[in-house]
Amino acid sequence: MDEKLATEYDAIILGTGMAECILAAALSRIGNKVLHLDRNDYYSGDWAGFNLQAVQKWIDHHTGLQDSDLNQKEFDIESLKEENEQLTSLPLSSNTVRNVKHAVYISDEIPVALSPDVESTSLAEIAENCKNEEAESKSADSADEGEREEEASEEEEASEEEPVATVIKRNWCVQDLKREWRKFNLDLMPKVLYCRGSMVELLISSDIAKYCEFRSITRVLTLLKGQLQKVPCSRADVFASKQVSMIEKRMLMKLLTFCLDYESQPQEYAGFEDKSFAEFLQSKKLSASVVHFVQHAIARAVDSTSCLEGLAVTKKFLSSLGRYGNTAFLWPMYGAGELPQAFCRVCAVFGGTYCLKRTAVAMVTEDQKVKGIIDTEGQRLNAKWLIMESSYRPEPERIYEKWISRAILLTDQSLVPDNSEHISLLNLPKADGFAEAVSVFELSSLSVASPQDLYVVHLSCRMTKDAETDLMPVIEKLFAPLKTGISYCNSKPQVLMSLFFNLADTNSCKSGGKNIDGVYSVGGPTDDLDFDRAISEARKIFEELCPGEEFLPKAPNPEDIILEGEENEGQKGSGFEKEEEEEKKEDEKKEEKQEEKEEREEKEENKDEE
Amino acid sequence: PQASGPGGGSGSAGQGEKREHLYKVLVIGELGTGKTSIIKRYVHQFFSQHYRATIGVDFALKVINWDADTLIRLQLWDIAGQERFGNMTRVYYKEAVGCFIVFDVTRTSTFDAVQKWKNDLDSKVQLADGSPIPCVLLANKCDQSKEGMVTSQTQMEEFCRERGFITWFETSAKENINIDESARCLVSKV
Repeated sequence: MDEKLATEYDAIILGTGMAECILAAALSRIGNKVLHLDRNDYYSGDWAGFNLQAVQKWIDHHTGLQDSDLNQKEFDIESLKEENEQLTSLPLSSNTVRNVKHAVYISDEIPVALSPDVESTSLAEIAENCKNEEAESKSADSADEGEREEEASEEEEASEEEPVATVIKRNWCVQDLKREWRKFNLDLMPKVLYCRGSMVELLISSDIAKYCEFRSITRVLTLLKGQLQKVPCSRADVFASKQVSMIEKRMLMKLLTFCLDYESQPQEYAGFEDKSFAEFLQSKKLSASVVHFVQHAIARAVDSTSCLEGLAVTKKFLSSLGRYGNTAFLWPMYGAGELPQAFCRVCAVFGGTYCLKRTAVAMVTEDQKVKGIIDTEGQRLNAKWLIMESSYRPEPERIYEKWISRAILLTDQSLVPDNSEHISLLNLPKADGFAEAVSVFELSSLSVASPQDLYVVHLSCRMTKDAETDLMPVIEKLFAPLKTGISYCNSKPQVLMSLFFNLADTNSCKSGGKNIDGVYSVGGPTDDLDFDRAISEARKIFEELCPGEEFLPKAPNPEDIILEGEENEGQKGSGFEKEEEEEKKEDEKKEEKQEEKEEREEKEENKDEE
Repeated sequence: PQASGPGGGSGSAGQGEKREHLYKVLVIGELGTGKTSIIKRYVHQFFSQHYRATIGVDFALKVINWDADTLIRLQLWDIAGQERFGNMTRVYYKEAVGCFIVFDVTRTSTFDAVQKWKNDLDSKVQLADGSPIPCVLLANKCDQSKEGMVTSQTQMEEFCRERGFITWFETSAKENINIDESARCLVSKV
């Protein structure tokens, strides 16, 4: 495609990650001419999600098996600049991914031994093996086997040689997974939205929500006393929970109620302003379980997290509950990589030009002021502003202090199976014998990131050594041993495939380098749960570039500005909008009700205390 | 609970006496093949040689009284600034139930690119059952002199059969030829 680009822009943006796309949309929305380039052949940079085929390509690329997708041309770069201009070369490939390691633990096809005519004997053999293995591992496994056995017998295919209450799982093979390749959406860095976080607010205020769909995170799990269990978060949960005693319920309620309104009660945390959240919780004479729930599952605080930070996160979590049902988080359907694309669509609809597999080979400056770029196809493109994701910065400036260790696993069973499909979030504190606190997402087919009966599990933590070393202790704790050939009887989920890698937190890019007027850089994904950092970063730059302008006002609704030819003018809107509105109203009602209920409960509690 | 989002297949809002359907239909093809002109002609009944790209609008809406009991709201999604390089976001393709691929009969290169567009389309969107979405090929600017395969009716029919197009139409947004007919054909398949 030899199409020449127009040469004059207000902004050239390199990289299609979250912050870049928000800026692209915001700038284009108010009439700036935007050119948005990406070196990859996919959108969203390190925020992207891939199906099974695309992830293989990504792996091949980062293990050196496949060259980049860039459309590159030979040209004389010096001829594209004026005499008084300087060129600074910019890197063509990313340096944000390391230590990529991919493994498959299942056979390519179902072994012949399991073909239908010999199935019964095989099952019998398996059952026999299982008994043996079970006996060995029984003492070690304290998991709630009863529940799983029940489930398993339901799933069991009608077989005469029914082994005694043993889990017989489906025998997955690579071909099964490949057949479903489209149904996977593997995020490089999974993200959620706090229901009252700034992404939800921005999607609503800009109306970009119309491009997106969400599911709720249905469970927050925690590992307490060696067992994975559901964390009681909302009042309803707390009261229904069997894990906490009556006294603990009261403690938890009191603490959560305080956190929701901590700013107006500074006396409650007086003296802890400079101390850690953990110390603050310890001072409150709470039970160990309550401290655990609040510190690790709700505030996700490490030991060094300050008291005020911990309170702020707890408040964000609690205030998010009830807005869209009994959950604090929304999961973007099809993965985190959809959100940048929604903002790109806005930029494009307002005239922005998009071009993948194309980036800058050099930045053109004059007197410490940016003039434009020379792109990979040898075109000189001019702009007032050059905005780039940190990995597009000149080589000496793109060194990252912080890295993230990631693992993506495909498993055959939920970590905590019950009768429904879940999207679960689990935070494992450093204290559990892990080098760093580890975030775990488990996605069932409900998330549209995983096919039926399979689970995508994301693990992430700050890198200390490399992804595999950092995350293996967690995997060993939660899953059946990683080995080829399914062990049919282990009650823990079996890992079918694993992918380890380290991802740079490009926000930790060393500042410095020359300060050039009109050049801005933004970071990629962090290990935060949500997108909010990218929004504040984009907003800050926008306010600097376009002071006084509105940040992403709503676009006109196409249905409102249509010149209608046919009769049916009377009916405005498309019916489903009404439903949406009603839904919103319903939500609000629910919210109100919930709040009322909470108030009532609070009053009752106060009475109790008196 | 999802609202019956744009083009959610049988997105019917059964209020009142008429059944209402909402369909998202894509219009794709190379630069300058007349996609936007076709949309304008179909929806607004006008044609201009020098139109400016519509800024700030996702889709054009056409309301069709299909029959006595059925009202169809057809969202025609143009491809905005991304078009030049065929780098479409998934947001654009998502939940589409039908597609027009447009080429320009006076430029064979735009016909050569048809297959590329069809591949991109089929790889990024499918119907709920996994089958490709219905797609109609439009040979636009048929009021001008034709070049290449488009001059042969039989070859074009063969091409459509092989490549999985429902059918093809010679269209002219300028002269208003076959625009309504092709839309009716696609909608009937949807």
